[in-house]
Amino acid sequence: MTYNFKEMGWTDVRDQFRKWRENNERCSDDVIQLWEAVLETRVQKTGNERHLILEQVIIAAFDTSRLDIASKCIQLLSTEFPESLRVMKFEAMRLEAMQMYDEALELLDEIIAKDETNAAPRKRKIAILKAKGKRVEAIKDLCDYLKIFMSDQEAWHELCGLYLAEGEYSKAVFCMEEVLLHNPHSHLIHQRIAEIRYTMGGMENIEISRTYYSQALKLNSNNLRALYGLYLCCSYIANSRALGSKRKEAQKMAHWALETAALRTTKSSKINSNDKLISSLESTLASLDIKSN
Amino acid sequence: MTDYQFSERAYAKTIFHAAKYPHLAVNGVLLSEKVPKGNTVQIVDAIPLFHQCLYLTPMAEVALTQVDAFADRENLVVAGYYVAPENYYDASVEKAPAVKIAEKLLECNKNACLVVIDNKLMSQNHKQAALKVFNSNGENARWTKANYTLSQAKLTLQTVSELLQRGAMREVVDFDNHLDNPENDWTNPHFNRDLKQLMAMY
Repeated sequence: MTYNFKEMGWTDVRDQFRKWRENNERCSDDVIQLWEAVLETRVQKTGNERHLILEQVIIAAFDTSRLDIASKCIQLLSTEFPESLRVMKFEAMRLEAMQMYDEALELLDEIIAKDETNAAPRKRKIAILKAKGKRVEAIKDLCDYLKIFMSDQEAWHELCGLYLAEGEYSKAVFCMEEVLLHNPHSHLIHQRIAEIRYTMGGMENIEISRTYYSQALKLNSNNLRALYGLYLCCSYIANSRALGSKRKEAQKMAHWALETAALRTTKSSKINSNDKLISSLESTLASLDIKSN
Repeated sequence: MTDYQFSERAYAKTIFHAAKYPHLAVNGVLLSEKVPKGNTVQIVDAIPLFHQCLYLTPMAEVALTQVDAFADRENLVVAGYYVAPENYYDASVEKAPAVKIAEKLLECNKNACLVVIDNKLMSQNHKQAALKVFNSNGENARWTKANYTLSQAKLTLQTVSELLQRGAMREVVDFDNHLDNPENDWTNPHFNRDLKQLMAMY
């Protein structure tokens, strides 16, 4: 979104930044644009929020490769908070952004030595391993990290992603289940576990996948992925060698799921005859079958 | 050996998709004319598919089926798979995510190609096409480098660079966006104009 700078006063920009922080949105392009146009000269007026805004701008600057802005803001923070570990972490991130990984690792080790309970620098070290492409070492370090900081959902989520990239689907499911423990009512997590189970394949996994997709739909009946997923699982079961009654039930569910998905899509889709595209699923599903191995 | 020719539309959509999600891996399929011109396959369009969970199959199955039906309707055929790796330095077939999809496409179309986007060449000032094209002779499913050309190369690269600077990539829609909100159109008809019209739009 391009913002109309002339109409936005600094208070509007400050409120927008706060909204993004609260919603955990990382609109880096917009943050930098608004910062340069409006807020930079008036940041002193924002009072105590100033430091949070500076941190937000530093991360946005790293994302958009504006290391000049990042350096300036880090300088502002470090003059106000000399010797602060939080500011040192940003300095390490700046080195990381310039691909000076060895210096960054040294600085992070220093921070960890000063405060062993600080989780953030440990995670940055793992991020550096990932950036270097050393996925296996990153997985090993992340597992060690999780042995100490067991309730870090973000880390479990990241570990799940790394395992998926390595093809270790059962371990990825375990990680996602840990995230589910923290968010039992999240339809997205249920759907993600269902997708991993479906990818693993095999009758047992498909049945578990069907359960998770159903739960996702119960939590959010608008989840289009869960509808399609439910259709895929039920079709598989209906075409398999299960008991007759099971297959009949699956067939009915599959039909319902596809119809609901088609209805929901064609109601708002702009594609011509989208329903025909969706019904093609019924005919070609048997032939196109990608499995994980 | 088959050669490939990329149209401006296919190249632009592919690069825009990768540019829209610079921090993630993205993938998609390429569509071509049903009959190759001599030894050259004409890639005319690109359908961006996913930017999350590239390694998971259910949504990929749904998407590929629908894209297949769409291609058939437009008198085109699915002729390739493109992927942009997450890591800046990855540009090889081994490190590319979800190459299994490309292998599956090979079974249906023996001229199918695998395109890996070279992240190092993605910039706001394209000097050369940021693609690495591979195809396979089908025997042992190994991917070997293939030759390709870009239609109207100089003008296409210039236009794509200019549009990247103007932020046009934010409007490209992939299948993931469609699943989030069915109003989003993964056929991207607004990008189906020629280069001059696109420049005028932004």
